[in-house]
Amino acid sequence: MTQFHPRQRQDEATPVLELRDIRISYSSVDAPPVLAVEHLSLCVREGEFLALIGPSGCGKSSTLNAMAGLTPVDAGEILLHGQPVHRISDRVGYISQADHLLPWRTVLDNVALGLELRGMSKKLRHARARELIASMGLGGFETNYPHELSGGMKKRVTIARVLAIEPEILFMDEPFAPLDVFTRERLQEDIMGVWAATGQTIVYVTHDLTEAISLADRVLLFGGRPGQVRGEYPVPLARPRQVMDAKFDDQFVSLEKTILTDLRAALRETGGPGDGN
Amino acid sequence: MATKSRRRLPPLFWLTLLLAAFFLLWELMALQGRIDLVFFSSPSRIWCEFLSMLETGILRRHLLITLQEAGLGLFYGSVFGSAAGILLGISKRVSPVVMPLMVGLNSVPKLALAPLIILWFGIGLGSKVLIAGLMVFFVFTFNMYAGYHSVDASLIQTVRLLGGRRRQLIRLVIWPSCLPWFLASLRTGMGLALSGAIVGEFIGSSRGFGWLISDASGRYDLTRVLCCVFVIIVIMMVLDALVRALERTLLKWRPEA
Repeated sequence: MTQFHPRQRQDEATPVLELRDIRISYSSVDAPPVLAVEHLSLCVREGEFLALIGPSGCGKSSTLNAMAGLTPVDAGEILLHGQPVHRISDRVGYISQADHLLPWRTVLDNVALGLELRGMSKKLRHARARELIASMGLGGFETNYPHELSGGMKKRVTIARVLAIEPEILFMDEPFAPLDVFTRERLQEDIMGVWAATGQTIVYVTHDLTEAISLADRVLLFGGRPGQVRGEYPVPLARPRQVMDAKFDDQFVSLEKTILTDLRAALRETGGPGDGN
Repeated sequence: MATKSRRRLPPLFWLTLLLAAFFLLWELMALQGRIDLVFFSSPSRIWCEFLSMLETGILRRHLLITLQEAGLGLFYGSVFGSAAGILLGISKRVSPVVMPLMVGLNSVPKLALAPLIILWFGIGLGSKVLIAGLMVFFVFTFNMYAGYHSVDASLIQTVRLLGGRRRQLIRLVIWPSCLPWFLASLRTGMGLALSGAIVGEFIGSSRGFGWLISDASGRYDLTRVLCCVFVIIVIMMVLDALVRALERTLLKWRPEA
């Protein structure tokens, strides 16, 4: 499928991130430890948009958190540019469902936060933040506080804030799930625009198959308990794509059918909808 | 803005009306001889006393001393109290040992210790500052401890993901989260510091507002006593309004509830 995406061929050889045979479990005081993920290996290639999908409770968020260094792994290793990831890394960007903007900071100072933490001067970081705010279509809202913004605008601020630190890899965990359909589609377009403009490597967790196919270069299907990769699907759609129209493409429909069949099989194995992860 | 100012006017209006009615009734009852002037004085006498104290400079001299004691007490009490509260919040090992002690110490009526403190530290400025500081110390400790525990853990994680170090977290997340608690403590603490200083002067001092009240009541000069009481009330109301204005400026990021 490489002919549809010329970037992919040259990048095949250089993984940004590599997971080798990892195991993640959660222990609690009064219950036996729960194994979330076992014997899981995967590669994230330079500049690719990788989607992880699967039913709830199959360990896709756990895997993402481990990749970002938020959750420690029990076994195996995670290599970011060949170096092991042990704890929270400031070389990666992470966007979750919630916005977690600092409520006492203006949009401008929220976007500039990562640069401030790196000791960049006020003048430089504000200039950089202004550019990003404008590129996310939020010009004019620099001095507003988060509580004055809509859900979609807060999400844009979150994205701008992460892009400011120029992460080596951007993790997104169902980032647009709490938003309404129209806002979600516009943000999907925005993130596609960012990806096209920056060549940013993105790992995107979602349980929305349509979203996964319309955005990603490659889809990994998670399933089972403990979770494992059940299938890998290159997405044969041309770039640049229109997120809103992609789903009417024939290739889209046939890929969706294939993944859906496998997803149903995985769902049977996982034992129905889980209690989240 | 128009609706805001319209909403803000009425409380002040009603407050003025209430006070005017109260003083009018008091004055009328004094004029008609229904209350004993020796024990209850009258608003007009208190006002004249206020003007004469203002003129002779007694008021200013003693007031400045008391405000200095209360201010220093509030300063030290808030700095050490806040530091103690936040440090107890941060350290999971020390707080189970020290927190019960703090609760125990707080139950001691600090004003009852005032004679002891004056005995130990003399009748000067220091003992009053210590009494005022002790009054507010625990308010800040407990509030900031609670404030620390109200910090949103996901904000800490977010800032760490963006590259925040431990010291940066205190400045960028913990302190701003605790600021509303600090300002609330300040509003409570001002009154406590002032009463701490006054009671300290009451018990052992040769100057300050507490001494002024004590001296006047010893001479059955009820007019002067009540005049001092009203001055303190007005000062407290003004200071509280100032802190509320400070709150509005510093906490303007909060959605208006």
